[in-house]
Amino acid sequence: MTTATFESGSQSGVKRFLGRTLPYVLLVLSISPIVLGYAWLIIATFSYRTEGLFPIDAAGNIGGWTLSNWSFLTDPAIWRVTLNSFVLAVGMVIGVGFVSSMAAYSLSRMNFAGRKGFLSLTLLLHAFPSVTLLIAIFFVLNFLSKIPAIGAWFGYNTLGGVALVMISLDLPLGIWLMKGFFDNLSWDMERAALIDGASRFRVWWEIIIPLIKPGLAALAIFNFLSGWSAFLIPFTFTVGSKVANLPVYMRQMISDTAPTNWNMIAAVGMFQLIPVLIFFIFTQEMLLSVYAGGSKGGT
Amino acid sequence: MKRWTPIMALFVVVALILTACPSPTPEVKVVKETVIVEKEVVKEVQVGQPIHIVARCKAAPPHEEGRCNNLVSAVGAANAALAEKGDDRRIELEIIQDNADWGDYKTEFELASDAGQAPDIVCSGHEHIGDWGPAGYLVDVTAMLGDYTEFDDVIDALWASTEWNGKRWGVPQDAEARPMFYNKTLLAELGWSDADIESLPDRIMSGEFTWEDMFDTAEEAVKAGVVKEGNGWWHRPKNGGDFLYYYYTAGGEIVGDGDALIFDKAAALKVYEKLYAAVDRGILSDTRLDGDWTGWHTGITDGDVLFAFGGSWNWAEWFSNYVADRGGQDYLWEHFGFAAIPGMANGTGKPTTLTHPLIYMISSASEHPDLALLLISKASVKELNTDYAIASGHLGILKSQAEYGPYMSAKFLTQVLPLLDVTTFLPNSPHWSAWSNGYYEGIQAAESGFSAEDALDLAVDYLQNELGENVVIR
Repeated sequence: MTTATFESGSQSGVKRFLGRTLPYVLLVLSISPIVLGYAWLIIATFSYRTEGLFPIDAAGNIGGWTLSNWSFLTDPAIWRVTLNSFVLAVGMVIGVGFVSSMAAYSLSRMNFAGRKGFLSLTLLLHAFPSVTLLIAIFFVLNFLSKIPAIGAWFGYNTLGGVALVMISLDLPLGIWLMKGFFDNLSWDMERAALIDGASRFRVWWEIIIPLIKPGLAALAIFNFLSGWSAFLIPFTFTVGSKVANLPVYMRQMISDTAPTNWNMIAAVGMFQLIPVLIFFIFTQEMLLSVYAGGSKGGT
Repeated sequence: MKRWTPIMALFVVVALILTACPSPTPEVKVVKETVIVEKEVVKEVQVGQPIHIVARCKAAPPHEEGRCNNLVSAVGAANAALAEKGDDRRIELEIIQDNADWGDYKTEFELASDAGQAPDIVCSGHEHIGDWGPAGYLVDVTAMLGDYTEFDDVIDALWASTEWNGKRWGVPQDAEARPMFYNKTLLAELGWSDADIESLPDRIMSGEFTWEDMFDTAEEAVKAGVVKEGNGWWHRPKNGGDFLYYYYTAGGEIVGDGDALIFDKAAALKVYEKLYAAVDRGILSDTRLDGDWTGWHTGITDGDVLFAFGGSWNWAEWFSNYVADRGGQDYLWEHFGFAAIPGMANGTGKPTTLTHPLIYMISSASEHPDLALLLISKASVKELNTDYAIASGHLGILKSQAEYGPYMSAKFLTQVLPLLDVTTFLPNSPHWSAWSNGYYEGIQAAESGFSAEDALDLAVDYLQNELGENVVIR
């Protein structure tokens, strides 16, 4: 009897131990490729070449640390493309945030003809990968290019044009996200303000927007990341490095025939990652609120 | 405060890197032949109305960068010529030069042209004239060429590559030959004597050593363990103009009397049979068309491959980027040789090669085509073109280079020059891209294990679907 008790106690101890450790083991195993990938990225940026995670010199021995991969920082073009990336990312934050919050408010709070159809179409638009729209987008940008004054800012081969396209492509997601936040807000304060004579716009701006700040912040993060890492649209609709952004700059470093300095490309990748990391450190809680399915009005 | 710690750490790291950064000197050591090229230095004249000209070039760094850099060097001479004529305009040149994929490069120019924002000058393959001329993207320079005496010096035969519809649409920038490279060390390991190795180019030129002999030698090397299976013979790793000379040496023709291109089934079948056999005999890997250029260059320069069909510019690419730390050109001369492409005994039997000149073209979107052409004329002089030719392994475009000391003292260029006696060109036709893709479908199929007949059927289907009346299948 005693033996049996000991055995069952031992079994439950093993079970408890396994129950506690197994998830951690599985988690470590599943994230290790990503962690190793980032580890390689950091090591590669400071080495001439790598073998696995070890930096090696020309003779194949471990060693050969260098800062030469970061020499691209002295290339004036890198700062121009970084600025372009920043302008594009900020443009998307402002453009998508502003338009989606207004559109989502009206879709959430007002009843008008075609509302449901519009919502369905918006969702449908989001289903199109941007690569399928490239030709159509080109015709739009080409058309814009020919309009005096506007063409110089929002036409083909302009940062404004790229931002315009990126904003349009990200709007469906933005509208639906924001609509979710508006739907979760109570009508009470809004109704009280309307009864007190406030206009719809004033209600939106002074009452609703402060309540959905976490939602706006989360959307801003999404759009910043989307604009910061945009490749296809800037690559297709720009010529040369004047209006290129960081991912396009990185693509230009990859040669068709000559050997590519992958360690320098890793350094550019690392450089591109820094603002994203900073952004993430400040905003991870807000980002998680979106993944968790919306906010309760920021209270 | 906790949140600021990683950010501060990042800033410190970035600041340290910035302060410690060396100047952006490329790690790759450029080894050029020691030839002193005397360049006329023209002091730039910067008085007058500035005109912004944009030039776009694709160039493998660092050896091909003369494509656009020569235009930069020509700005001073062009502005001096304007000043002399009393023209108060002055060229301000912006260059856009990278080593983009040819497909991306072409698409970029086409989109920019449609948007009216194409660069004034684009340097691209001559066959693109066949697409861009009919599309209205280029300026017909036929009547303008006479205004610039520099163009009288361009080798007459090269002008054909700039023509479409009886007119000239650009100026040759370079020329080349596409030879067969052979590894001397491996041939010696196989038992070839020095005399056998040294006489190979002559034996190919005389028709004594054929494509079939090359395959037999490659198979022997694989069986003897001199090279690994699949490394007896390599062709380029993706579609390109090279494959056309296979068809030519198999007896095929592509240009007929009309606009339609010709697809000669008998010649194509011979090519597909050869490629199928190469894989079947273990000479060529069935994954050779993997698109990996870096792996291709590395395999050859590391001495893993017996025969390789490449381009004369590979020589410069290799000594600049691949064997610079093993002795550069000296290493190449010691271990590699080159010759014309052997003739197919069951085809024409004649050796061949292909020249694919790049052309400076002027965009129809340019507001100053005369200035663009003036700039091109000043870049098309023997001093600048020789400098580019030596650095890049391309052939000169000017008659005067045949007597120009620095050019003639470049050993590689003078040895490649005789290959031009057996050269061929791609057609300047709007249908070339589709024709090339169809023919390539068959090549991919044959190397993937389809029979030559099935590969031919695939190619014919593709060509008929894509080109319709614009291809004559015979």
